[in-house]
Amino acid sequence: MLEDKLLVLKCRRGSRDAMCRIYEKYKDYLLTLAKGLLSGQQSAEDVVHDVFVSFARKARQFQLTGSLRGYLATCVINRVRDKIRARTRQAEALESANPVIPDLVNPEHRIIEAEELQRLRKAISQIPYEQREAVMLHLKGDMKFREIAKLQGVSVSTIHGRYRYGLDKLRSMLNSEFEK
Amino acid sequence: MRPAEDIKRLIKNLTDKTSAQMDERVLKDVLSALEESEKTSALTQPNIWRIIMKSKITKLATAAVIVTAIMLGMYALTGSFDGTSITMAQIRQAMEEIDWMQMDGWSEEERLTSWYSFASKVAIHVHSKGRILYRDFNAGKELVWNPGSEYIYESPIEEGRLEEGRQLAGGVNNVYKRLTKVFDSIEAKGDYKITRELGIYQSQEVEIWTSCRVKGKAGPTRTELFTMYIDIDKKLPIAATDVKKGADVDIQLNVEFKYPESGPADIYEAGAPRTAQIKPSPEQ
Repeated sequence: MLEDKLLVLKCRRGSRDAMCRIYEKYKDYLLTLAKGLLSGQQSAEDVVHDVFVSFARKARQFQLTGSLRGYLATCVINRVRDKIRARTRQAEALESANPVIPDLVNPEHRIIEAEELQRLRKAISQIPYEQREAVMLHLKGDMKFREIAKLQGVSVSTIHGRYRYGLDKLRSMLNSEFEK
Repeated sequence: MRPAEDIKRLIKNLTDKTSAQMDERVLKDVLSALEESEKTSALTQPNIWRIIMKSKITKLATAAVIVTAIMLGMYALTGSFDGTSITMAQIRQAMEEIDWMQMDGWSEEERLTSWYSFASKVAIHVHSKGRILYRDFNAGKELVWNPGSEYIYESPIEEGRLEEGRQLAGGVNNVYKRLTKVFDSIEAKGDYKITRELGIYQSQEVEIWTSCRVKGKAGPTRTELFTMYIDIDKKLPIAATDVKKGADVDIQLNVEFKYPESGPADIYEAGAPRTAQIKPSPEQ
């Protein structure tokens, strides 16, 4: 948090190193978030690109009031929503991605896990967007329900509902795949 | 049936890494956007006055005036200081004969040079980053130049800023008079102990007046030790330092006062390039 404030301060003074450090620090987190919400690799990359470029444009006047991580995550969400609004809701083909699976050494286990993640991604892309956002922001974005509620402009109980329904749908989809 | 916890764990473990191509593309565009923002910011930055007024050095200059005001208040109450050579009456007399005052202030982070003309009601500030503000209270307008800009932006002085002009109209003593009342009460609370002694400042014989905190807690905005150096011959303050200390704060601000016969005649003499054209501020 303190490091972020310092980095933002340096960016305001035009420090390229500080800007690179912010990108290095949050690029994977934001890409994962964008990809979870959009499911397409290229679209997710574009979102992260646009978020950082926009941040750089206003870096000189930028005032950090909360967490930088939260701010950038919110920017990603807004961009994702713009993208979704801009295009008709056609499911983007699940592109071949190379998910990184942490803490796994066994190659056999890795293949199983990779397949599992592929199925998970596909399932996430198929649940309604509001539910997807609630699930991804809470689990991957580490956001509290009240923060997501504020972002979506609905009550906390609605977010609880969206989160629960989203998880239930994911579970049902993954189990039916598993049982096939 | 997979438990919900399992799905939560899977989602939490989702991690995508950016590719080298993506990093290259994003960083290239990000750095060029940053560079672009630097240029436009230099052209449009309207907040020089806020920057200057928020500057700790400006606050120190104000503090220097304030401490003198405290002295004035003490003098008014007691009639004189114990056994010292310079009296506040002498300082007041010396200040009344002044037209131009130049103030050079610095801390570890920044520098600021200001000129005040009490006769022509002009204030000029040059910040270490190159920004220049020229404020003419008689004409009711201010000029701002930012480094790299081809233009000097002109705008009317805001109503809220006119107080500075009214203070200038009365000369330095007007400021002291107004502040004396306020700081009499601060002094009466006994938060600071004031001492005076003879000493040397840059090979010059001076009186050193110090104001040391004796009550309350240290804090980042609270003065621990304020020192002012008074020229014995001219009876004028020539320098001041302000030390603030807190849990993780240790700042020293420095100001030197000069009393030249005149200051910059216009914003160009203050350092703006002669090629810069004056035009109305886009903010109007």
